[in-house]
This record gives sequence, C-alpha cells and structure tokens, in this order.
Amino acid sequence: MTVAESRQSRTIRDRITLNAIDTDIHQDLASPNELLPFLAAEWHPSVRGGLGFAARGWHNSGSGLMEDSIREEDGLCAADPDWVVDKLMDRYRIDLGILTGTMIGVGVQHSTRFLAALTRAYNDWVLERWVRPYDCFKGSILVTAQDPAEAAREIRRLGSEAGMVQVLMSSAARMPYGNRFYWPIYAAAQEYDLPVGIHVGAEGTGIANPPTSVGYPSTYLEFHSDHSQTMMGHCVSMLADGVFEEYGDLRFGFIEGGIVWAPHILGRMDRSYRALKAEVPWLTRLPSEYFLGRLFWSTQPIEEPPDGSDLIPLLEMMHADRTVIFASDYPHWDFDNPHTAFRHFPPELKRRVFVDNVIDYCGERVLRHHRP
Amino acid sequence: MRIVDTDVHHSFASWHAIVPYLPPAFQRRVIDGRGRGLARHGFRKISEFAAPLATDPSTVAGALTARGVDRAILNGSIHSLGVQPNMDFAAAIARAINCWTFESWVRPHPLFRGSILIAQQDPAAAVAEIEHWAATPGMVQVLMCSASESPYGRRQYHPIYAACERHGLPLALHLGGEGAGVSAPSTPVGHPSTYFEWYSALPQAYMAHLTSMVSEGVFERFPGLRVVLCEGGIAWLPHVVWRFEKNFKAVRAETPWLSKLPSAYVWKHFRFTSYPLEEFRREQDLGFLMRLVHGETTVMFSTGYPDTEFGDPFAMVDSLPERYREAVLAGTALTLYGGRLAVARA
Repeated sequence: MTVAESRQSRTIRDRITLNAIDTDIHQDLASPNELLPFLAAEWHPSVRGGLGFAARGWHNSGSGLMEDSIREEDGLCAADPDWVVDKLMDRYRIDLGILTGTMIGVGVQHSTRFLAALTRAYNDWVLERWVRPYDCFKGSILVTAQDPAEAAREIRRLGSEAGMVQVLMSSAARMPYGNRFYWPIYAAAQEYDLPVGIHVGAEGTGIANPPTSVGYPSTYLEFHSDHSQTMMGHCVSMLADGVFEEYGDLRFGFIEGGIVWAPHILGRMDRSYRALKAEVPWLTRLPSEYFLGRLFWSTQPIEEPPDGSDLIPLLEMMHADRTVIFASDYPHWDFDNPHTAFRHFPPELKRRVFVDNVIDYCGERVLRHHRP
Repeated sequence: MRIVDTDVHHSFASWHAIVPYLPPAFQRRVIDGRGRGLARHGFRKISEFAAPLATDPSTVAGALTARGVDRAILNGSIHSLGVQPNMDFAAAIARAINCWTFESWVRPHPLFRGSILIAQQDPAAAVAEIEHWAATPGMVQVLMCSASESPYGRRQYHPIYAACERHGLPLALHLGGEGAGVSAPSTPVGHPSTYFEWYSALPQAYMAHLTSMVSEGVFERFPGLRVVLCEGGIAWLPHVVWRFEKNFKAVRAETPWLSKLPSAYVWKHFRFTSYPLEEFRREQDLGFLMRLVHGETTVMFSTGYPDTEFGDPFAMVDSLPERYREAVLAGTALTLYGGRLAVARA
C-alpha cells in the first residue's frame, strides 16, 4: 500500500476514539480552470482567466496564509489534499475536517445564472477532488442564498451524498437570514437533515450591504473585527423572525464570527422580547429558549482575553457545552492551533467542543465512512 | 450626590414648542408639514408596558426625585438628526431643540442638565452648535445619534471631537436613527422585519463606531475626549475588545499611529449607560460582566425614563456587587461631567 493509499483508506473510528473534528478548512483551487471539467462549455469563457468576483478594498498587511504551511509547487497551503492531511490533520491530530473552501463570495456576486452553474461545478469539484477520495474530508454544499430556489435545488441534488455534511452560505447578504425570502433553503436543509453554516469574508463586497450598520470601515483591522456584526444581525433575525417555529429541526452555524457575543444577543433579546412580544405573536418562547440544539458557534478566531480563564463564565452563559464547535480556519493567517488555543477550557468542555457538539451539529452522518 | 441619571428621554407635547426657536424658513415645514419631512424607520414599538411621553418637566422631576435621583441628563427623543437628508434642516432642528431644552427644562429645574444636540453630517455646523452652548451652565455634554453614514473614526468628524475636547465636554451617542434617512440598513446584513429585531440589533452600531474611533487614532489625536454610549448594554464588550485586540496584534502594521493596545483606549475613553442591561440568568453573571468591562470606572446609571418597558431601571442594577454601586449610581458620572453637574446655576 502506498502512502497515498493508506491516507485515502484511513478509517473513521467510533466517536469515543475521535480526537477532533475541524469545522472550517479552506481547501483551495490552484486555478479556477480546475472547475472547467465540471462546467458546460458555455460558461468556460466566464471562468478562464479568473472569475472577476467583486473584491474588497481592505488589505491584510500579511500574506493572509500560514507561512509555515506553504507548498512550494503551488505557493498555496491547501490546493493539494495530501498536503492538508500532512500539514493539518496529522500534525494537529485532527480526525475529520469539514471543507469550507474559498468561494464563499458567491453569495453576493452579481449574475445569478452564472453563479448557479459555478456553484454546482464547485460542489462537484469538492466531491471529486476532495471528499470521495478521502474519508477524513467532509464537504459543504455551497449555495447562493440570494437565489433561494436554486439553493434549495442544489441541496436536494447533493443532500443524499454521504460525504456532504452541511449547507454553506456567506454571512454577507442583502437581507438578514431570518427573512422568509430564504425559507425554501431551510425547508430543503431540514428535509435532508443538514445544518446550514454561514461564513464570513465577503462583507461589503458585490451586492452586500456595508459591513457595518454605520457604513464602511477604513482598515482591514476594523473590517475583520466588525465581521461578528453580520453574524449578530443574522442571529437576531433567525430568532426574531420565527425560523425555528417553522423549522424546528433546523440547525444553524456561525463560522468564523466569534462566539462570546452570544450572551449579549440572547440577553438583549430576552429583555426586549418581554416588553415587545405583542409585535411578534409567532414566537411562543423567549429567544434564549430556542437556541439550544439549533444554533452553533465555531471557535476560530477564539477571543483572547488577557486572562484566558475569563472566557469560561461567558462560555457557560451561552451553554458552550452544547453550542460551540471547534474550527481551525486552516490555512489562514489567524489559524487557531488546537493544542494551544484552548488551554483554558476544562477537559470535559474541550471534548464537547472538539467532537460531540460537532456531531450534534452535523448529525451522525459526519461519522460515516463515505468512500464508495 | 446619591444618584445621577445619565439618560432621560424628554419630549415636547407638540412641535409647536420649538417653532419659536426655528428660522422662519423652517417654521412652516414644522407647523404644516406632514411628518415634517423627518425621515424615520418603519418600525412601531408595540408594548403593553409603553409609558406616556415625558413632556412635563415638573412631573418628570417629581418621578425621578422620588426614586432618589439628584441629577438627570436630558437626551431627548430625537435621535436621527445625523441621518436626515437635509443637513440644514437637521442643524436648525438641533438648535431649536437645544434652546427649548435649556429654556423649558434646564433653566427652571435644578434636577436637569442638558445635552448639546448636534447633526454630525455637517461637522462645521455641529462645531458651531457646540461653540454656541459650551459656556452655558447646565449644558453638560454633546449628543449625536449613532446612526450615521460613516463610522465615527473617519476624519470628517474630527472637528467635532476637537470642539468637545477644547471645552471638556463628553460626547454622548444615542441609538435610534439606524436604518432611517441616509443611514445604511440597521444591520450589516440588511433591514430587519420588526421593531423587536431592530432594537435587539442596535448595539452593533456602537461596536462599529468603537472599533472605528480606536482604529483611526481618534484618542491619540484627542486624548481628552470621552464618549458615552447610551442604551446599548455592556455584554458585547468582551467579545468586541478581545477580537479587536487579537486582530490588532497581527495586523498592527496597518495602524502605526496607535501607541497602545485597543483595550487601553476603550476602557479609558468609553462610558456605558446601564439601561437596559442585558438579562442575565444567574445572579453572579452581572458582577462578572462588570469586572470584564471595568465597570467601576465605565458604567453609569441611567433610567431611559420614561421608556422603561424593559424593566425597572433601578431593579436592573439591584444585583450589582457592592463595590460597583456607588460608582455606577453617581461616582463615575461625577468624575466624567465634573463641575458641570455639581455647580449651582444662576
């Protein structure tokens, strides 16, 4: 058996034997041309030579990548699955990884017909290149939330694929995700028992709103720090607009948007709801009584207080033992090292965050051997 | 002094109250105009606990004094002037409201202190408004809405901060105009569906302003400036500060003008009013949050009177650990506003 074969056939053990499941790995395309085999010829001119996506005007003063993990052949950290197995999975003892890719921005680009074709091609590429050959990699069904009918179609097209474990959309959006406009997506996700994860990064680009409610920030420092506000906007909306009254089994994940803002949102919403509930008769419970088992927060970039133990009471307030899931964000500059970033977590909580909560989020399917 | 209330929402019963203080060109608009052409959001507060407007100074003074309040800072009920499309109209309304506040509330009643309301989209006019009132006893701070076209670190607003610093006036921000007029949608992902949703998400405006003001070096340029964030809670601060600081450590090359960590600016320059505090499940949670946000020097009591539908403002601070009580109820406000609160007025 070659090294590659042994990697490909790595087995998934019983949950008890798992060490960690990473919910945010950004596998990369060496070139958009990798998608051409998955696209009808009519779209090839739109892909060759670059996708022409809206780009943001804020600049990370570093490379944006983990300098210690760059592969000489392509100058990237995550364009080759075996490289990622080496640099992430083996090095940090991560058993399973959920791929989130580098195409989050489709949610706020302009041409919905092209985006529908592109998203399908991208998902097929993820399946063929990453998921089907590797039992350790799980895929996300990327969708464009701005086109809910197409998104629902795509969920139904791929929802039975054993290796696909969540629906993925950009947190950047024109309307908050509790809005009924998006509910066809949730109907499809619930039908296939797939969680819906939203990921930051495209804020303020394309058709998205300004990245803050008071307009455009000036620096990358602000832009990145402000990301959690899109998450909060969606969180309030999901709870206030009654999504979980309609879709009681839906699970929703906030990826890369911070975590310990949850006590603020839930505490302010509970306070407001008691006074304002006459306006929202579709809600039957306090906002904070909806989120357990339904809302999940991924850890990276974990907040870093001067005294790490200060995180613990906030984690308790948001029931982190049931709501927080581990993410590394490999291979991006602000990667959280699983061996060092969680030193202050009690062992039992760490276990929940690294394994059990991820299984609650994705369902048992994340444990399945999906290779044909 | 036992209790300073840092956020009272006084109102006029009729727009006629401010007409005498308006230039003739705008008097007709305020008297006749349907809605006066004042942009507002499209949400309506529907609450069984809603109280009548606070229009009568003696009634308000009586109600607050009965609860032990010794000084009350008036922030009014119009928190959207900075996102009105007509900046001349906005500046005229600000001037008229300031005249009315001073003449009808501050001058006759020793309990009340006034805020110098400004419309920040025209910084030159805003500075003129500050200059007009800065020496007037009884006016204790500058007030502008948090709703805005741009985050407040941006340089067009700096003349306002220079004026505040020059006169030792704190700058208060108040929520309310988000999503109205020329404002961006009230969340970065668009307009919410209900007042409940809108109100719950409002503190995000503060998060963006705080991050912007620190990042852009406002407090390097204006080390004397203090900013009061009204009605936005406190429990978001640990997340925002820790995320901001983690990012700063990595990308600080982008902001070489900053000489300190973001948290150092935040705890020194920002103050937070208490009403409404987030609802915490366990009694110890409030004390814990107070420690994280340096509550002994940053949190100031407020009632939001008469908009107290979210619960009794006094009960909200009942579970404060003893070591914060005096500072929150009066001490921090007395330090911040100094002689402007204490000195007897003519």
